[in-house]
Amino acid sequence: MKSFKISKGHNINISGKPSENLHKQKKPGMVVFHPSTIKNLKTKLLIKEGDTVKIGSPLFYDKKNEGVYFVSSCSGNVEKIVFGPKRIVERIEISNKGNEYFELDNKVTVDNLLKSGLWTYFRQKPFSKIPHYKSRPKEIYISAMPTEPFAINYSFLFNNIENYLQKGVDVLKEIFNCEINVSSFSGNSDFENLKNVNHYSFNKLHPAGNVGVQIHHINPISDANDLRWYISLQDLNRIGEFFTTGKYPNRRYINISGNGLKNTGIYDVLIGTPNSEYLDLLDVDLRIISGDVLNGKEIENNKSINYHDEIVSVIKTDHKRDFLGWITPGLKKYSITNTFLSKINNNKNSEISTKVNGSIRTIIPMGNWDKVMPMNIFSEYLIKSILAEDIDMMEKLGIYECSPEDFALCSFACQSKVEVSKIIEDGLDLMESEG
Amino acid sequence: MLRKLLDNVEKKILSNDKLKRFHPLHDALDTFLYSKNSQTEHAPYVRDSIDLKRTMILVVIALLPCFVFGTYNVGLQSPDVIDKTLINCFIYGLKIVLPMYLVVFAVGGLFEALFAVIRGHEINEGFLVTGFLIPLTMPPTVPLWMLALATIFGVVIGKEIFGGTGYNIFNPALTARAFLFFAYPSYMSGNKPWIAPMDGLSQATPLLAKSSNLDLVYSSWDMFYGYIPGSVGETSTLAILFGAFILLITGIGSWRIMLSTCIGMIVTSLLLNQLVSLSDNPMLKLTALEHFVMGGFAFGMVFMATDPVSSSQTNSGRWLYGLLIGFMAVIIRCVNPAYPEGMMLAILFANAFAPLIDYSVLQKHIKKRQLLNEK
Repeated sequence: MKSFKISKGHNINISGKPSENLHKQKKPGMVVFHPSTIKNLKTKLLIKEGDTVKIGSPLFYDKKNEGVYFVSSCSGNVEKIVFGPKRIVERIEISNKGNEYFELDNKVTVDNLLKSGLWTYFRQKPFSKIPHYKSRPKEIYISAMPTEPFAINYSFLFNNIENYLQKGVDVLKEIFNCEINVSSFSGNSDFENLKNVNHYSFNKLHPAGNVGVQIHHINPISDANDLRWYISLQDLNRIGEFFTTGKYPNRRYINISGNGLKNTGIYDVLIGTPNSEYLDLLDVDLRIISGDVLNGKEIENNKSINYHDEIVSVIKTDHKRDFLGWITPGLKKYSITNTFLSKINNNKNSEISTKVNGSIRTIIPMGNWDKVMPMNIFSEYLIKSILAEDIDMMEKLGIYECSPEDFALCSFACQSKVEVSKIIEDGLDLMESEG
Repeated sequence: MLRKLLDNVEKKILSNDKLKRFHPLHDALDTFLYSKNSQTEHAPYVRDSIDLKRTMILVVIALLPCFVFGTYNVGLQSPDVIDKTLINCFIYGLKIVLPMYLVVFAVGGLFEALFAVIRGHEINEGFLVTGFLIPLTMPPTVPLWMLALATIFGVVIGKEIFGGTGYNIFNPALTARAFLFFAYPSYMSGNKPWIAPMDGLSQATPLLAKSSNLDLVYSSWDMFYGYIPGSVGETSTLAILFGAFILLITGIGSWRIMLSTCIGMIVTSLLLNQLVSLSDNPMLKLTALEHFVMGGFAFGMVFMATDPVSSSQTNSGRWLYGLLIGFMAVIIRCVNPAYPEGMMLAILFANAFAPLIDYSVLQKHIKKRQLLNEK
């Protein structure tokens, strides 16, 4: 096992950490899908209102990626399809009545992986999108060590659920015949018994758990066609489960946490369960985020968690304005810099909220980005080249290695409140559109 | 109560098309009094508490020891203060230094606001530091009209014509000082301007004394503590080191630049010490320690060279940039008898070279990436 130690980064100490327990959420009366929230998806529906579907029935696919099916997680009737502007599909509601399974073949072939709907849980770097059905990965990366705020504790989870990981690895190895790299926390041996994979370890410092950072250290991406795939550990487990049992695994584990919730912990839920079914919200002004607070997206309570996410974070909002805030000692101000007294006890009593905490200014290289950027990327120059839409320079500075989530801490730490991760996202979109 | 008043005024300004353009002025006052209330609109949904206001105010706090000692020293050096008690000296100093600050902030603030209103952006906190620095770099006898002119030059030519804070090539405070240095040399150099009032007594700064081969009447300890004539804020190396400590511990000043500037200065002065036998230039004899405590070296190194905007912006670039400043400062001091004060010119020179240094660092980084990718 090769181990890496990164020194730049930050583990945000935010209240509302998830409790370590696993709840099985009872089946909801209805599940909802939001195709429009999946990046770059041009939805082609395979169903219409009133149709009957089974668990594993194909619901829709991407017009630009025709072989990749998104399947139903329950059996019942398609109750309602809501379209948005330009006829994008915003919401598909399916009543959850029976327990019938759509017949799927579980012989280990690419075709069956595509039909099972589990292909959609892969994503590729660069561009963090669902891979094309014809493309093949050079390597597959699996992070068994998510480090983002409120991350799932996989060691705890896999001690409490059926483990199909080895089967999942074997299936991928047989189908794609490529290297599979698994990263775990240094000193954690829970996943060491997985065979046919390369083991790597990183220290517990966000963003070391991000696949992009791991790829950068293990075998960096060189150009747009240098494809690496990644999948979350629980989805690898579901692939293993499907090719063992032949039934579409229609549940996922979601970690719910944050200071705006009465209940926290890992919830075993039917895919597409609306958030309101399992979030017990406090009666205050708050924000529900699908994903972690650094890289998620705000969602409403009547929607379900975004397709690839496995965390729901609920945090309180704060509208209080401090009088002469810039000169106060700042005993309760959260900061990674040494500019507030709160740093003396390592931000232990600091409050963190949804405020921007300052005005937007020009990029001034104070070194705050550098403190949290563990990749050998000249962030300031990359950001400036993206703003200038200088494609040649963006390529030279390694845009293909970058993902918004790896730069989220830079946005977090920036004193000029520059939206670093948003700019990276825009840069990647530009590169993709330019082909 | 105050909050309500500010909110009402903001509503009025925003509802009136003609007044709308003056919103930056309201915003400056509003966010000065109360921290901003804007909420995150997309990821990351939480943000660090640090902002530019906090950063800049900490630089001002780091400058306070220099301000306090400098004010005291103006009184201490002046023949007008006969009973040299702490209070007397300080009060005399305040009488000279406070009007300087009033002029700088009034004139500079006006131009900052003007550009903000015309350009329609918020007033940037950068001037807080520039404005605090300018009087500290001036001789106590500088006429106030000249100070006003220099401030305008520093703000407009040094910064705003490039696009404002964050885009400037040269350090605006140094630009202001350099302007006076070249435009009105008799007020800015020689042995007249360092002791207030201007015509009271002429006394060379230690640096000038050395370069003119005069006997030095000050000990190194005097120079370290700062009991010497000179620009308001630059004399006390001790006070500057207090400031350096604040900048380093808060991470606002670049330790790389400070350290490499020191290294550059030490190496160059050691080299020049070897040439003593070849020339009768008295400056060649100056030890590294004397270079450090004399003139504006320490002040420039801690507060001017570390300006994040006009200095190099890459970590390896910062090393080169600092070395260049240390080297140039000593070379200008020793080799060019017309300008015994080399630090200002050295920093401006390095400011001009910073983009080139960064360009080379960047090209090296790109080449390295390409090699790695080819593998």
